[in-house]
Amino acid sequence: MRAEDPNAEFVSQRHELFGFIYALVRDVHDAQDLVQEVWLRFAAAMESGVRIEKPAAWCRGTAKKLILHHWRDKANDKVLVDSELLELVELAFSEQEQEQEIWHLRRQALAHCVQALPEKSRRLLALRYECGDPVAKIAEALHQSLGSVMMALSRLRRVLQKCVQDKLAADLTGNIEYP
Amino acid sequence: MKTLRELMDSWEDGSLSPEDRRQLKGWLRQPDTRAQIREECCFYGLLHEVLSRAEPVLRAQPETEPATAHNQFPRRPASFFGRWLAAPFHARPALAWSFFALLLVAGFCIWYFRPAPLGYISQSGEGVLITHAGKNYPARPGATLAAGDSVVVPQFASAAFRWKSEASRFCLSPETEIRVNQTRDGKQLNLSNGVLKAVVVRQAPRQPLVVTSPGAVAKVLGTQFTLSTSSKGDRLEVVEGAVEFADVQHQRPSVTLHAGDSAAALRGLPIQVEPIGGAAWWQVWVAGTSALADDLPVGSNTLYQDYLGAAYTLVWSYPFISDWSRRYRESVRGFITPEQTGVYTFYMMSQEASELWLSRDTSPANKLRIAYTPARASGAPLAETWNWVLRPGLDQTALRGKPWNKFPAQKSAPQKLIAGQRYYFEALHELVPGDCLAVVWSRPDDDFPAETVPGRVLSPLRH
Repeated sequence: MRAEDPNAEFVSQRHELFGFIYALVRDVHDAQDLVQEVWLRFAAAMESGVRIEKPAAWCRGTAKKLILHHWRDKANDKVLVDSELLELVELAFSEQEQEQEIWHLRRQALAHCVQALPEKSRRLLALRYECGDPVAKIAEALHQSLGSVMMALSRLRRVLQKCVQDKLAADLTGNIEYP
Repeated sequence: MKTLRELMDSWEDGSLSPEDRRQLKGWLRQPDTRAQIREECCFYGLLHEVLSRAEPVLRAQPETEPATAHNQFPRRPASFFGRWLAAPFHARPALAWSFFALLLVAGFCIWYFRPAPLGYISQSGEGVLITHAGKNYPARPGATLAAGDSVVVPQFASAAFRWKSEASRFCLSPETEIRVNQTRDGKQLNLSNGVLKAVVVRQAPRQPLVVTSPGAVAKVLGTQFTLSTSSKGDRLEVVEGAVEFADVQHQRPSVTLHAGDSAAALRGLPIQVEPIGGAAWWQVWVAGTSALADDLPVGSNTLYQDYLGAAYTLVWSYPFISDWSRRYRESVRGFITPEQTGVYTFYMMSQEASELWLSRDTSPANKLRIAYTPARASGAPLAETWNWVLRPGLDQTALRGKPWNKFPAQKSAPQKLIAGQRYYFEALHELVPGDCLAVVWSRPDDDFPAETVPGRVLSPLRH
């Protein structure tokens, strides 16, 4: 399904774009900046009358260039991504565009699962994926070892993914109602 | 081999190694795992979105402290300074910038209020020291002199220093000690021992350079002079300009010396002003392209000029020359007035090329070259087996066994000189580091090199 308003389509798919960018820059703040930059370019292209058939693909193409610039600017940092990996990830995103309804269900399920977590776990997730703090900084703030924080985050991700899968499966069979 | 889950964890933690990356690419090339990876990536997007929407409490801004998720965790109590010190700079940019600004301000204050240097050492021999705040430091070229510093020159060395922001320069002989200072009344030098030769540019009105020695004071408003002090008293010779000279020890009226004048403040005697005698006129200049005998110093290329108390030039080791990449020449000119009639033999002593010219009377036009040291081959080093400068009468133990009259041309033909008659002479020399010239003569009716031509038979000729 493609929305008639490209801007609306961009907004509805921005989590996918964020996921794509975040996978390749691994920094929440940088990913947010790049999403913002893609959005600005997308809006400018729309205003100038450019006809964009597939906004998601267009945005990923723009994001690819920005990600490459991002890594060039951070030449002194440890390089996590090369152009080949970038192309492969882009391939993964381009061949499986999901319907908005599925995304909506997944988002609802995830929100429910997050809410069900203990407060301490939710805050740990927030530090990492909302505030975008590096794991080392979180470990320092919590007076815990780096390894234990990484382990806790990994465990939380698995718990959430399993929770979402379970809820989606239950939703499809009509057994669960979201608040 | 990592599992896909382990690989995704490494990717998320930013610890993806090159090997991990290769493996990840392998997973991405397989359609089923590619979809799984995509799901994983999209999960982060969803999670970010869900957290941003579902946890408004984490983004609220309390009045006292920025709200981050950190606030929700119990913290180890710490003082402000403890937290300030413990916090990494990159995590607290405001603190880091404050700290660097503080450092900048402190650095500026130290720079602004530092003791301003009065001058700097332009040339120094081995063992020359600067005494600063009671401690001794090596006086290397470029070392600065602050108010109250002393320069101490040991035996067998010399030194020179310049005043900051002006062309005044001061040369110090061996065994000299001088203290520098500057007040609102002008520059002050205190010579406690040794010999100071000074070339002083015109000073500001009412701010003369004042040179004090144990028994005398010289006020200088721009001139060139030599002030020496010893146990017998203080002696001043003025080369250029005028100097007011006062015997402070005996409270006698001051006298003004002009170019060519000398005066001595001897213990128990009044100051006597008289023309500089017992000396020859010494000039050092940047070499021209003509032959040594035809090259004359002119105003623009003259580097230094002064009176010499004997016909040799090693006294100073040329402390006024700092750039030895250029070629220099020197001349010693004046009149010889022998005390005894007889036949004298002259020796021209130097390492590098030199020439000795003597006139049969006082006229430079009648001069003839009577002795010379030949030039070494172009580019050849001054080896130990080369010629050395012998100065009879001085301790030259180091030269024992070394050649000093290697070339027959160094020895002149016998010269008949009449007592009391003045004969013009000039000695010319190509200067190289470590070299000097000496004009040596024999006793009457002898041909053995007896002594360097002494100051008592010399009188200067100035051009």
